Amino acid sequence: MPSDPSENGKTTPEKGAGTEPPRIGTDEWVAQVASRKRQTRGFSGWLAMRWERIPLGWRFGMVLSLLILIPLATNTQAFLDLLGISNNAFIVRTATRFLVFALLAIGLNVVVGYAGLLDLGYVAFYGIAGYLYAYLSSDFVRIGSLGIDGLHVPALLSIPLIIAVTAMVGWLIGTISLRLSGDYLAIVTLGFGQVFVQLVLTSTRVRVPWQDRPVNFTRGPNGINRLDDVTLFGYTFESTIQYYYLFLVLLVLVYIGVRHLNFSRVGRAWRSIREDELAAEVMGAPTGRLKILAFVIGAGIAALAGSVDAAWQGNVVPVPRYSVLTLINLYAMVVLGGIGSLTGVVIGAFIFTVLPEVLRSSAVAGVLFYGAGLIGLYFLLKPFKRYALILIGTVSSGFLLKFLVLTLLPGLHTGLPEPGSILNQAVQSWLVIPADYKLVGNVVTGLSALVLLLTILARQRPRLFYPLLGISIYMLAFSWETRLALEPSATRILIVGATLVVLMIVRPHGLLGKPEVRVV
Amino acid sequence: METFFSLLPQTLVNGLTLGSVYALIALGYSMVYGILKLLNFAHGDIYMIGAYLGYGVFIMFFTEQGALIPTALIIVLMLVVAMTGAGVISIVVERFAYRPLRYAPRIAPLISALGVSFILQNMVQITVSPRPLSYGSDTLIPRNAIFELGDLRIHASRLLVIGAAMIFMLFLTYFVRQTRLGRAMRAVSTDLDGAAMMGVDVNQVIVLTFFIGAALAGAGGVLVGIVFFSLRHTMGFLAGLKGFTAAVVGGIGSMPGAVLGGLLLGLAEAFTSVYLSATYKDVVAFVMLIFILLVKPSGLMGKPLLQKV
Amino acid sequence: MPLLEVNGVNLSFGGLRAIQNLSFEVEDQEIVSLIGPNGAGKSTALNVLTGIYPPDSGEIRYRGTSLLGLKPHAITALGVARTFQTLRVFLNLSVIENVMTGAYCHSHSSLLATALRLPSWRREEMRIRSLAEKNLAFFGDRLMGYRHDQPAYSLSYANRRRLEIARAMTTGATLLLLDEPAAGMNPNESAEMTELIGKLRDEAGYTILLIEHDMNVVGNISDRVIALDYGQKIAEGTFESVTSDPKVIEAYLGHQTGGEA
Ligand SMILES: Nc1ncnc2c1ncn2[C@@H]1O[C@H](COP(=O)(O)OP(=O)(O)OP(=O)(O)O)[C@@H](O)[C@H]1O
Ligand SMILES: [Mg+2]
Repeated sequence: MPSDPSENGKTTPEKGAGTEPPRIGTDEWVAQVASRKRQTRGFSGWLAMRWERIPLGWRFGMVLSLLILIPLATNTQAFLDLLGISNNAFIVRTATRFLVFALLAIGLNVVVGYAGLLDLGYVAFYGIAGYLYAYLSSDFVRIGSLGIDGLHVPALLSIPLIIAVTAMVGWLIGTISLRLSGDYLAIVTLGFGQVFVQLVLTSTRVRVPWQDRPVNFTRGPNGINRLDDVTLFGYTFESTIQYYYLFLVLLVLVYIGVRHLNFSRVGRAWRSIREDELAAEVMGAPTGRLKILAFVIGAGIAALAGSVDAAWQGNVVPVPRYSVLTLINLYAMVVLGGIGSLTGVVIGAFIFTVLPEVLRSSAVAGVLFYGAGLIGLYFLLKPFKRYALILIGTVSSGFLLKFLVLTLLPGLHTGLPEPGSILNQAVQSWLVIPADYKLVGNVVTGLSALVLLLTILARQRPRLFYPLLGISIYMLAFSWETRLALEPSATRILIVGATLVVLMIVRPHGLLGKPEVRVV
Repeated sequence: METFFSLLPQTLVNGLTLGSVYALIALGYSMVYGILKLLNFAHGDIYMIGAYLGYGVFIMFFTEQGALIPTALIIVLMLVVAMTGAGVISIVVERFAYRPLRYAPRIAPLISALGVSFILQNMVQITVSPRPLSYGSDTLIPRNAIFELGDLRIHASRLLVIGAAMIFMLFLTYFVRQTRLGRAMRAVSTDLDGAAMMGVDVNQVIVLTFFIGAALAGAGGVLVGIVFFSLRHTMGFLAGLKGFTAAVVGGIGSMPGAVLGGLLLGLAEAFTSVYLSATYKDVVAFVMLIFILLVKPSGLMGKPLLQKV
Repeated sequence: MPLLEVNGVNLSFGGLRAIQNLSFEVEDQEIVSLIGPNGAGKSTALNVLTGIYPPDSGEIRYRGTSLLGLKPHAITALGVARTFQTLRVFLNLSVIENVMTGAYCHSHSSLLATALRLPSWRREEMRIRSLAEKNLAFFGDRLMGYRHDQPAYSLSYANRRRLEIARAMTTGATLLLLDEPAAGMNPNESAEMTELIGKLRDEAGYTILLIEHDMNVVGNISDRVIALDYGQKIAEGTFESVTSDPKVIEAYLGHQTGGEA
């Protein structure tokens, strides 16, 4: 077979029996080049290799025990002292949110990652389940003529019911929208999600035939509150930590269930639909039914998360919880983690619930900002010598500039009224900060974005690149100190946005997703 | 019934005003989609940037002493700056956030676009203001500049919006139909790789498409500010959604479709507000979208996809 | 009763009459080849048979059951499976998974059994896997061993063609429709493919309807040959009689300088 060197399978005596590595040069050895490359690169490669050698069950157990320990470990005195906080309520709350989002993201992953359907109405299922739970488990539903003064259906009954109803809605939406393909499916489902939120917001004074007065179905933007806690077999979940463990159990069950589905006839069929719908249909998979099934399972998982989440939070509010913002968050998690990879999706959920919380504190955000900047710069400028040279050059130019300004234009530099932490003070020591730092900061912040982009463009031309890089560093530090650090709420979203763009460019297939091959 | 007819002309004008703006936004969505099959979710924020750039010009020439130059000139300047600025920013966004992802999985540029949207919104919030701003209800076009046609009273600002939007669209039609670059644009949107092989500079066409689309959206931002008096850094989100909806209703990828979709959506909202309830106008927009797509799965003027096996 | 009966089928795309009044039959355990110049409508005929395009008129029966109005997956489940001229393997699935997808129409595990990995699921999964392995083994060493877990995109074109056949076999079909299985192969590989198609019938009992441009392949294995031109059947019979038919020669020479015959 002279035409195809990788085809000479007949001449190699041993076939990959598994235990011993293939002989160098055989086609099996050639076929493994990619994975070998991945495994040997750098420290992370070494770590990944180590990690993959651990049996699957063990890996799962390790992560699980970590998750079980989080609320306990963060409650120890040593840990609280380390962070300088009085209790770990905030941490447990964030961790619980992470679990809720992980559940939701796994459901979305079934629809988007496996079946390849761009469902932009997914949060509506989460919302529908939340509202159904609110109706079934609070004083809200009052029908005088029937003597109903609030429904309090036991969770063991209500949650399966909610899942069933939401899944039916999913079936309906799926059936309707699957007449459309690709991006049209996306927009119709987006419309569906919007209609849900708008209806919740506006259905406060609806005239119904059987009542004289208009009925308030949703209490609009205020939402419904004072929902019952979940009670299972006589045990009532009340505190966040109790819900944390409830969600953890649910997550483990759903994770395992979905993983099993993925490696079965249904999962294979879904993935084949994502690859090539027509070929999948011709190979005997009823693609229409399978896509609807993905919709229904996604809706069911969202309903499970949504109803327990409503119970945990004790209320339901349409915006922002069930709005497009949450949808965007979920998509970011699924795509960032690596579409189709369950573990990746959970990691994505972790990053996108924890990162914004961490950025809330501007001290921590500053450490992250400068830390990430320094590390990123190192990878950009390796070897270390060049890296150090650039940094020293930039900082000393900064000091020189400051010295010149102080001697030539005394009075220009006034410094910030509140310099902030030690880190901030250290950075500010080489910045010229004028009295109207806010205005200047605004301009510099805008410009620094431009200069940074220019720097990226100029990276092939050292003469331009290094000076520009120095200027970018200076300007970014200036923007951070004078504006960004002072506006933590906007800045954290800015950083999340930048993270999304950069991560997509560096790893378009997500952290754990496999790079996909489309046409070869 | 009588009130129905007496409100009709006014509602039509309102609908057309709103529809013109949606059409301007929808055009950019549709053009970019036609060429790259990319749902540019940051497009609404480009429109917001346009409105804010217009605001920058506005405060530069409107000091406490009043207007420094004639208001007509100010409006023209606002439009020019907004259109150019929005166009340039959009090119930058394309270069840095979309171009590296041209051959990535379909969903990657979508997420990148969301990231860009976050960045633009929050940059404006930090560097300009988190509070709503306004061109002033009276400053640019006096409150009493009203044309009367029988019972119908039309404020000049509405005429300005409708008129400006029409001029832009006519110009765009001319450009796409008659110029060499316009033809290149159509070629690329029919078959990107094919056009590249025939010697069309695809990157140039893509940059141009982003620029024109963003310029139209930027103009839309200024026009909206002139009619509705309120700017916010978050205004791009819903407007983008509406523009997107309009583009899809008309048949995404089709320029006449985008205009038609925009006008229809504007009219639908105006009629709902007047005859049903203003609270339901957004619901109606999306219900209309779902309905039209189910009846005509590729939009009103879109061509159905042909699949060869 | 013939296994497949096609009777008076017509299909046009707008003004183009891609299939005109096409009628033919395929008997059980027969190897029939469809030939004709490029654009003659051969692939379109397969698309009609597998339910991708509904015909404008005509009748198609498999084992006496009408295939009209059935979705492609239902036709496959009845026992008609195909390969594609423009290879459509699932590139990002592994080789073995590609083949296992074919088993969807004759597997039944419920969602619950799957999620909980009940013994019934385990048994069925084992059955599917060994069926897939058996079908891959049909191709000798080509797709064996470590290749099972490689992604399909790592395969050469020739191997992708083999993979598609294995996938079609796994659907449990008795009638295989192969669209240019030897396209893009070198003479050695074509010869191997010819032998293989013969084995598919002789050893595994499949009935085969084959589209092929390579006349060596067609001549070596066909029981019967049908020639198409402009969507119409212009000749039918043994390989020798069809290839010496003046209409067929004209069809090939008329709009294709050189021809492959
Ligand atoms: N979906 C479609 N829409 C329009 N025309 C089509 C479509 N599919 C096929 N055709 C046309 O029908 C005719 C027959 O095409 P077909 O693919 O069946 O030819 P073929 O005999 O398989 O040729 P080849 O040997 O090149 O594969 C061609 O003119 C082709 O362009
Ligand atoms: Mg063909």
